[in-house]
Formats: sequence, structure tokens, C-alpha cells
Amino acid sequence: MNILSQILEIILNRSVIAAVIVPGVLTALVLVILIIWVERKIAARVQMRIGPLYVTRRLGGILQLVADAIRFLVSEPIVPATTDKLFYVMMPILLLLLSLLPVAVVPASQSLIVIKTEYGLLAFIALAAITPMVIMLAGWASNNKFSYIGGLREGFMLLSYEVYLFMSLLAIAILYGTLDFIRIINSQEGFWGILLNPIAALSFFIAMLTSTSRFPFEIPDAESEIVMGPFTEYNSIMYGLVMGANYFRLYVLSLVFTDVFLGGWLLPFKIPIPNFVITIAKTFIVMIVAVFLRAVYPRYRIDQALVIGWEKLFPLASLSVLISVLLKGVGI
Amino acid sequence: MSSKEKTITIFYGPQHPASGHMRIILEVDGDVVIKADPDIGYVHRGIEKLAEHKTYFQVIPMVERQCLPDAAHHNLAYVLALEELLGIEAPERAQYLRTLLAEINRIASHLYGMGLHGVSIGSSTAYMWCFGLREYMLILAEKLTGARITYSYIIPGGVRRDIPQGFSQDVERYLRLFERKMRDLDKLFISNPVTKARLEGVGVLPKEEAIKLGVVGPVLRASGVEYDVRRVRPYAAYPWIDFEIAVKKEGDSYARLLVRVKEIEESIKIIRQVLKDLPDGSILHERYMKLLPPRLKEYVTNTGLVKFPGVFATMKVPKGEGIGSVEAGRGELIYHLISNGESKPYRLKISTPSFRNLILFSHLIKDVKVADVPAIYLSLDYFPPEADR
Amino acid sequence: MIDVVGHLKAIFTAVKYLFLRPITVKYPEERLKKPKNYRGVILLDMKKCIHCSLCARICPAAAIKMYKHKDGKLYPGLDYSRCIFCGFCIDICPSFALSHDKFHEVVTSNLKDMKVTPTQTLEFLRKNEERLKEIEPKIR
Repeated sequence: MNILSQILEIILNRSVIAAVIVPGVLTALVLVILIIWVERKIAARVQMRIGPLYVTRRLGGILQLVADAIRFLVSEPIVPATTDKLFYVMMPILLLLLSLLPVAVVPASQSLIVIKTEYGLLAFIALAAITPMVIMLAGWASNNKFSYIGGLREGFMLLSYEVYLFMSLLAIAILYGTLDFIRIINSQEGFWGILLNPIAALSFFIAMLTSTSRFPFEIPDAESEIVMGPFTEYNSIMYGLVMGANYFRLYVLSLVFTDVFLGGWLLPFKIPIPNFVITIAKTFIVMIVAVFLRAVYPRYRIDQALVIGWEKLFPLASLSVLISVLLKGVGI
Repeated sequence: MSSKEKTITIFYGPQHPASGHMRIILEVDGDVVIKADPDIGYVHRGIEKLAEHKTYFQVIPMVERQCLPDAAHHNLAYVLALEELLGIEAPERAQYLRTLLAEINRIASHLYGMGLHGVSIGSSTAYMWCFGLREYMLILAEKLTGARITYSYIIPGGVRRDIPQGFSQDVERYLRLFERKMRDLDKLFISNPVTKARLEGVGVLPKEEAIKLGVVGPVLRASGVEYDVRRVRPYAAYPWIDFEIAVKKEGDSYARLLVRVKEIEESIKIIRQVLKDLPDGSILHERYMKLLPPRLKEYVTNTGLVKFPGVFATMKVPKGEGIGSVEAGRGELIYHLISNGESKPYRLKISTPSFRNLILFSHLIKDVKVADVPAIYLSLDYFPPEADR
Repeated sequence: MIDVVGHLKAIFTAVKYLFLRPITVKYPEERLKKPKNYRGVILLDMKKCIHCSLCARICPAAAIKMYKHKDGKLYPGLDYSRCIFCGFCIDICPSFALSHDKFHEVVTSNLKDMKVTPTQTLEFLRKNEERLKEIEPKIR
């Protein structure tokens, strides 16, 4: 009984629930499965067609992704003989792990956070910057010219967006005077962050698009130029993991956007719903907006994306820092 | 340390999502393409040789199937060459109907090219929309001829069918729907700031070089040269129809896209004029109509479906040479037919616009980024089956 | 600078189309209506045939062969693996024996069945139509 109560204590610990269920692995999985379906449906509707339909006919094909996932699990994974086998196989697993890792410091409600620290924002940025290295590793290990070019492009994109991602979050940190997520959310009681500093919100949103390869910045895996970029040689379950990892990254960044700019679980009116449901709902809406742009824009060239990053968005992010300093000086 | 190889060679080959049925061998230094070398011939079917073993009528469906988006123009060019050999000219109503089909097909062909161009830049919306709009044109052609893509509608002496009942109202309805959707396509794809950023200033072809290299079609007109076969050597009903030629001066990929959009608008104007001014008369030349027995002649005039006279099966054509040149969707198309008095052609030589624009691959794709390669070469609207014949 | 108007127009057009109906035709449960003189499968009326063999001579794909019937005369039979549905044979037949039907989805289980003899043209059409009607309820 001692062991049983110890196990129960471990399972029902807030941190463990946060890591496994909300906002951890299970929520991420469910949201990713839904968001890919939503992306395909939205792109289809804008293009005057129907999208996935046949899997669960009455619900509009919502379980299409589950069918795809089962197909990935069942088909035979082939490891080409000319690749660097260890890194080739290790990469999807590492990528999935590192894409979901930053969620460890982001809260979904007052107490659902895996690691409670005072430096949440900083830890998040540090953890989110590791992923592009793994993609470059995949590009090198595949031993294919297209993958090599794709890996290099991912490195270039890292140079482009990392700085103004950091500066938008810096603007928010200056505005609220703290790096702790929970205190930031609690001080958005009357005004959400997006109303106080909309420019920081815009520049963080565009950094989010660039970092997760959403259109118009879908450059590392630009399918019509370099056949899937660094992921050319991947098939079956490894391909599924890699594509999923991209969406996990989108989920984590959207969660941060919700917490920092949209007030986390705060609403102007009272509703008897648990806090984490509100946060997850807002995150889903942010993801839908990010994914909707697939149907609108073509993609930029890589040098154009770098130029936009440094000539247009870096001044914008600097402006947002200035606005934060001014607002703080006025006394908000 | 220095490595001997500074450039890598990429095979932008047939197994590539944006390459079509051909291969380009690129030499890339970093992100800059130094040299591009097209490698064609994957779809060669030997049409010119096959034509020597079929009778003149049996060649008609075969030459159509070389270039499927643009089948009516190949049909028309071959029949014009054949009619020059036979020494006849189709009646006026038939000329107008040929123009009608040619213009419907020109719109479909331009939409095909624009759709592929859009998806290679990354906008899958442009691809789906252009092919969805092309459906309207294919349904119209189906009402007129009975088939969606390979029409086999134009025969020496005229055309095979008259317009069905209610065709003018159908055309007007579809054209109005089509124009509305084209305006939305313009807002979504053509005037999209990202499209402009991607296509402006890319692959510039100056006017003198365009004339020196001998390119044809919208590529030539986007570089400032006003050359259109419909004005220079008019055929079918073009001498009697009023339309403008789309010309732009910049010569980059965006100008080529805009020239195609303007040509679609002009084609819509031409279709409306043709349907308004359609003259009465027969749709098959007198020489063949009088070979039909009276019962079949009545059938032709009552239902509008043509019956061939029996001589079409083994028609012997007098000796000589005939040339048919039309302005297809992609440029100037020339058919040269040589006969030595028998029932099969002696030699058929086809000069397709895609093949003549091939020189631009190695000429334009120099010192550009890798991402510009699909933006340039799909703006030339190169269609491999047409070039390889 | 940044062309804000162009960006906004593109986004709003896309949002507008999010709420319009798709133009997809859910084949094979729904089908587009074929026009009156669509060039589909070819039917032979054996009573009208005058055995001139013009159809076999003009066929561009060499799909028509003349078969000897029991009464000693030649009738045209069609090979669907070669037919390109161009309609030249119907246009040249002087006695209106050949005609088009609107149906065009020809499917057989083996290559031998594609060669249709003169007596079987109508049966071939009916068999294919029946097969297509069978599929519909199953998918729904």
C-alpha cells in the first residue's frame, strides 16, 4: 500500500500531469492530428474543392490523419545504404524530442506547468533554438545533394528569424518587468498583451511563421525546388515523425503566443470552464490562423526572406522594444 | 584548405515535383546557378515518322495528341497545310467556327501554363484555381465538338459539326462566371505581393536578344516585340475580327505572366465577336458536299453533323508542298507537308514553339539563384511533349 | 515598402472563398451531364449495314476489323483497347449503321473482352452500364 500510494502520488503530481496530458504529450498529439486535418480542409475550401472526405464520411474526414498515421506505422522503413545510418535514424527521434521540449517551461493554467522557474521566457528561447541544428544534421547525413542544400537553407533561416524572435519577447519582458510566465499572465488582468504592444505581437507571429516553415516562408522544405529539402530520403514512420515534429513546434510557439499576448487563461467575462481548456482553445485558434496562410501565399526566395528579416522586421522588433520602454516609463 | 571542386552538379531530373518530362543539369556554386543544360527527349514518340505510314485523314487525330492542352491549334495547322495542297479554302461559316474553337483552346492552354507556374512558386491555390477554371472551357468545347480535349474537329474542307442549340447562351453564361473568377484570381495570385517579389526582375530577356535568338509567342511579346501570326499572316476568321495584341516591355517573368492574362481577356472578346457575327452557310466545302448522295446531304443540313464522302478514306493528294502556320498558345506553330501524289504523306515536318524557345534555358538561367530556376523556366511555358514530338 | 493593400486583398479573397461551395463533382456518385452528341461507345445496327468497310479503312487507330457473319457478309467489330473515340467511322458510314452512345466508362476484366464482335455491341454497352450501377450503392 505504501508503494501504491507512492505511485499514485507520482502520477497525480501536477508536474507529471502537465508533462503527460496538458500541455504536454497527449494534448500536443491530439492538437497536431486535428490541425493537419484543419489545414488540409481550409486549403481545400479556399481552392474550391472538398479536401479529405472518405475516412469518416459523416464527420467530414476528421480521422484522416489517424489513417495516415497507421499507414506510416505499417509500411516498411527503408534505410538507404549510402547514408550515415546512425544519424539518419537518430534524427527523427531527436527532432521530435527537441520540438516538444520547450513546453516544459510553458504553463497552461495556474498550476499546470512542468518546471516552475522564474526564468521561463529565457529558458524557452534557449530550448527552442536547438532544433535547427538537428535538421542540418539530417541534411548532411542523408548523403544527397538536395538534402544538403536543404540543410544549409535551414541554417540560413535560423540566422534570419532568431534575432527578432528574441527581441519581441524582450519587449514583453521589459513591459511586464519579469521573465516568469505565470506572473506575466497574471498581470494581463485588464488588458491583454496584444492591446498594449501590437507590434511585438505581429513580429512574434511572423517569427513563428518563419521558424516553423509556414507559408510564405516555407523555404527549407520547398517542395518544388529541392524535393522536400533535408527530408528527401525519409520514408514511412521516420517521415511521419519529421512532419509531425514541425507541427509540434508550431503548437509550442502558439502556446507561448497565447500566454504572452492573449492573456493565457484570462477572459474579460467569467465562464465556468477549467482554465486549461480556455488556453488550449486560444492556442488552437492561433494555430488555425498560422496554417491558413498556406492557401494564400506563394513562397519567398531565401535571400528575399533574409532581407525581409533584417531590413523590415528587425526595425519593427526594435520599435516594439522602444514602445515597451516608453510605456514602462509612462507607468503602466 | 582548398577543395578542387567548387561547384556541385544537380540533376533537376524527371523525378522531380516541378520539372515536367525533362531534365535540366544545373551547376550550382552555393546558391547561384552557373550553368544550365537542358536534356530533352524523354517523350519522343516519332510523330513525324509515323505520319509517313498513315493516310492523310488518319494523321489528324495523331498530331492532336502531341500537345494536349493546345490540341485545336495543331489540328488547325495541319489542316491548313493540307488545304493548301488540295487547293481549297473552307467556307466562311467554317472559318468562324474554327476560330471559336481555337480561342477556347487558347484560354485553356494559358490557364494550364499559369497553373503550373503558380505551383512551382509555391502557391497551390493558383494551381487548383487555374485548373478549375479550365474546366469551364473544356465543358464548352465538349458541347461544341463532343470531346473534352482531343477534338479532331477541323477537317480539310471545313469543320465536323455545327454549333448546337442554345450554344450562344451557354457560352455567355460561362464567360460571365469565368470573368468573375478571373478577377478573384487576380487579387489572390497575380497581384499578390509575394508573387510580384518572386517574379519581378527575374529572367530578363532584352528586346534585341529576343529577336536574335528567334523566340516566339508570349515570351517574344513580353520583351516588347509586336509579332503575332494572327496579324502578320492571318488565317481562319482573323482578318475580319477586331482584337489587340498584348505587348509588354520589361521582359521578365512577371511580364510574361501578365501577357498571358491579357491574351485571355482578348480571347474572350474574340469569342463574343465570333458568336455575334457568325455568317450563314455550309460547314463543309462544296467539292465534298456534292460527292454525298442526296439523303446524306439532307442529313447534314438538318442536323448539323457532317458525313464524310467515301473518298476521305483513301484520298490522293496532288504533288506539292503546303505550309500551315498558326499562333498556338505557346507561340508560332508551323507544319510543312510534302506530298508526292500518293495517299500517304511523303514528309511531315513540325516546328513547335516549345522547341524554338528551348535556347532560352541555357541563355536565361545564368547567375540566378536556385529558387529562380522553376520561376523562369515555367514562365517560358515549355511543354515537353510538344517539343519532343 | 510593404504593400499592405495587396496583402489584405489576397487574405480577404481567400477568406471569402472559405465560405463558398466547392465546385467538386463527387465522382463516381455524382456525374457531369454529358451533352447531346457526346462521343462515347459505338453501337452497330446490323440491319442497316451495307458492308462497305469504309469504317475499317478510315479508322486512325486500326481498331475496326470486319468479321464474317453467318449470312456470309462482313460486319464491323470494334477493339476497345485501340479505339480513340474520334468518331470518324460514324461520320463516314453512309447508311447510319454506326452511332454514338453517351456512355464512355468502358471497363473489362481481361484484354480479350475488349474486342467486341458485331453482334455484341449493344450487349457490351449494357454490361458496362450495369457494372457502373452496381458500384454506386456500395460506395455510398
